Amino acid sequence: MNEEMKSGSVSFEKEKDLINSMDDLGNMYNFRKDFKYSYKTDAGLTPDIVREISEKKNEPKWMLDFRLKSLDIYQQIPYPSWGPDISGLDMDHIVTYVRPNAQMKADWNDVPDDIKDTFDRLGIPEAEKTSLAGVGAQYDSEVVYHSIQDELVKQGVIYTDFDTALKKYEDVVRSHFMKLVPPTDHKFAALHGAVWSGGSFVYVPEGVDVSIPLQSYFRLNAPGAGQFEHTLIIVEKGAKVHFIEGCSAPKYNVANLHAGCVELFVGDEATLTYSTIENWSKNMYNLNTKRAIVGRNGTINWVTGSFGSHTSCLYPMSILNGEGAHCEFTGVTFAGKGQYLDTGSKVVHNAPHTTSNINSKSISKDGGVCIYRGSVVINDAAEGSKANVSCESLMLDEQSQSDTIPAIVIKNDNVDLGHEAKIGRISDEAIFYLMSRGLSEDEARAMLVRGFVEPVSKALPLEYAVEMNNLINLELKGSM
Amino acid sequence: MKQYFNELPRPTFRWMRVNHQELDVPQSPQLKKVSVAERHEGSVEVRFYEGSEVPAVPDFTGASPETLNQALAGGNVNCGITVREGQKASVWLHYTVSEAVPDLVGQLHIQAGKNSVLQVFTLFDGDAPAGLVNLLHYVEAGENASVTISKVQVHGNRVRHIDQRLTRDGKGSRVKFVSAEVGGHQTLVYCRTELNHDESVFESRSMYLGDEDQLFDYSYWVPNQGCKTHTDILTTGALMGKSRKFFRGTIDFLRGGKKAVGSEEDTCLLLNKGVHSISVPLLLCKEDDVVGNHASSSGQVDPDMLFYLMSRGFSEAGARLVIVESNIRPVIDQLGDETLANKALQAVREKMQFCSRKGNCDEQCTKRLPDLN
Repeated sequence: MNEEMKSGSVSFEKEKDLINSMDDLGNMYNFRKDFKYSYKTDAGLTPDIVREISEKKNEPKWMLDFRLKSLDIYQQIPYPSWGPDISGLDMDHIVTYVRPNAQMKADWNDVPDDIKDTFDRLGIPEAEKTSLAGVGAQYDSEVVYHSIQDELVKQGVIYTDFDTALKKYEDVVRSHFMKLVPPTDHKFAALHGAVWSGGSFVYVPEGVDVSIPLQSYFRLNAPGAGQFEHTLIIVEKGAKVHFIEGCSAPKYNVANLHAGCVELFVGDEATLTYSTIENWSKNMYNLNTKRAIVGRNGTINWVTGSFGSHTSCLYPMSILNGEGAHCEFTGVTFAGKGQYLDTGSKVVHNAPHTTSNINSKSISKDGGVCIYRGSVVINDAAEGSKANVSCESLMLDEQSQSDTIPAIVIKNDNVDLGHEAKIGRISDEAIFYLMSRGLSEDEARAMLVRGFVEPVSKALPLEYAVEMNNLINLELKGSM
Repeated sequence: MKQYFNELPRPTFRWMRVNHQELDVPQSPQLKKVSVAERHEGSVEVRFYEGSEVPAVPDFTGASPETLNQALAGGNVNCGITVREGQKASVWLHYTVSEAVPDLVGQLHIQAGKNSVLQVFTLFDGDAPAGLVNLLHYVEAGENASVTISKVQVHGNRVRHIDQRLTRDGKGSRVKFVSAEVGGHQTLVYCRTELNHDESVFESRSMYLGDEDQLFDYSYWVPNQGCKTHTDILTTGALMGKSRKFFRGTIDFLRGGKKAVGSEEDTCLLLNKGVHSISVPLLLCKEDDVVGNHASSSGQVDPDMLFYLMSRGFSEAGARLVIVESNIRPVIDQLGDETLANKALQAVREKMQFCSRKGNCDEQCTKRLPDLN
């Protein structure tokens, strides 16, 4: 059935069963565990709290100084004057650090039962056995499990939690940490610099091809807390890796915050595929920052599915610094009732013959708001560069909203840029046709929506394409 | 003093510096009396007035609040055009900047009655140090009225040209702006058209040719509230020297505006290094039963096309002119007045150095192939 779902060729008879089976899947993400922790800071943001986090992590002084400087910047930078309303987010009520009742382990059997059960229900250990070369699992503010196949270790691949990386590879971390996303970038980058915790560090040596994906999964269980994981990936010359990021949380009546940061360094002729299936709960403010810098003939592929969150601001950025560097962005955003998902992609062409291809799809339903916000900048030096941007928005009812806000800046005459966008709804004729073939209206809509997002599904490994299709079915059913 | 012009109705990333145009603004000028050359055909009332006929519209900010206030405060080129129900008319207006009268500020108040057809042709020319044109178009189109405003702007390179437009539609009305902007140091166009009534149509066709340090900044905002409304915006042109073009288009499909169709297109030919083309085409949509499209493209002259034309005997420069002209023809051809079209074409050819008849418009320009070799 999975292959069928991925290709969108599910038979009409199966379609109805598929839709009806989604209630159980809704529970798969939205289940709560008792809030247990070994330590947490007070709510709010003060220099003392920042010192406390750093002290608990036993960090070097430069990191504490960095955190304090970031806090200072955070307090000086105003909230963005554009984008969604985030007035419901009160930093005085956000707990920035929650240490779970567990130490990091390399064997699931050593992980406390309630946490292990959480990841079991999310299917992580099972995925590790069948389709992953390494797994990281973060619970609230700390990583509780990390593993990597021995074969990759022998080839010099490093995949570890960020705290360990800071201790074992301090020089590398220090020379890369928040260099691509400096705390001055925006208010939530500064916040991240002040209170970051957890996350993953990946290093792929020159020429190594990590053929099986690595995955980090982030679960936020604590109500009223923030998660600020930092992901740093360095892919050396000619190397190749696929990194998958998953995230979810149970729903609470108080606001949660996710302000992670992803920094990707893609070397000459290297390829990094960064896939995200984001399914935060509908009380989450997801203000995440992702950025990649790409060397000569290197490639960054972004594959993004945004389904969860109350409010999202997420615009993965690619800086094409080496001649012939390439960026491919494929993303789908699905906003349901009460959601305001402001997502998109940013590309900066800084070198000759760089190319980018952005393909964004969005679906809004039940009053959900989808915004595509993107930017393409082709600078003076980007001679012979090419960029293509395509945005398609689908509105499933008249309560919803879908906006497209692209910005294109061209500073070189020798470029080729194309941009197109379309907004509309599912055609009545297509629904009528499918209904004439025996499907109900809901079933017909589900089938058409899956067809609409097929380019994104195709870019994902099979298991994740299935998960994404499940999430779409869930959203269509409105069971979450 | 700095001032923000053409602010985007929905701002985006600040680091891109596309949310507005920031320019230095001199002190408000002391306006001198001037007459605008006028002629008309058909049954139409054309009047020049002092003071203001245009009401202040609370949520209309114009190109900037300051320039809007300047135009609303009265000016030296205020003109009102009224065509009654069922009548058909054409009006020609000629605005000339000169060293004697370097500042032209005012209103063009257009009232088109039910089922009327009105064409207004405007020509802006002349030059003066720190010259300024600031014209507020206020168009009231009655039920099923058709209003077309064609404009050619061929100022010298010391003039700031500000064109502000606010349109009130009627059921089934059709308002169309056709503009050829070739001259001026800085050209700022701010156009807000509210399609509040069913089946009303807004069309805009604009072309530009930039050279040296010219700036062209176009801003459109079209809220669609009526059902079966139609919006079609095309901006096309070419940039040379260190010229810059900004296109900010916003088609806003409001809830209830069912079966509305809107499209916006921005095309830019980049003729040499050092030019900047900025495009921000927004589609805002709160209504599902609509079709919205936008497209934007920028690039050099197609080398295959260039090669083909050169293989047919054109010089490279001549071939480039043919390609630029073919790019702007969709706009020139819709000006609806041969003299105006010739003015625009002559200015384009002068800029691309294929016309030696400086300031002397040739009626036969469209028929005369320039010496392209």
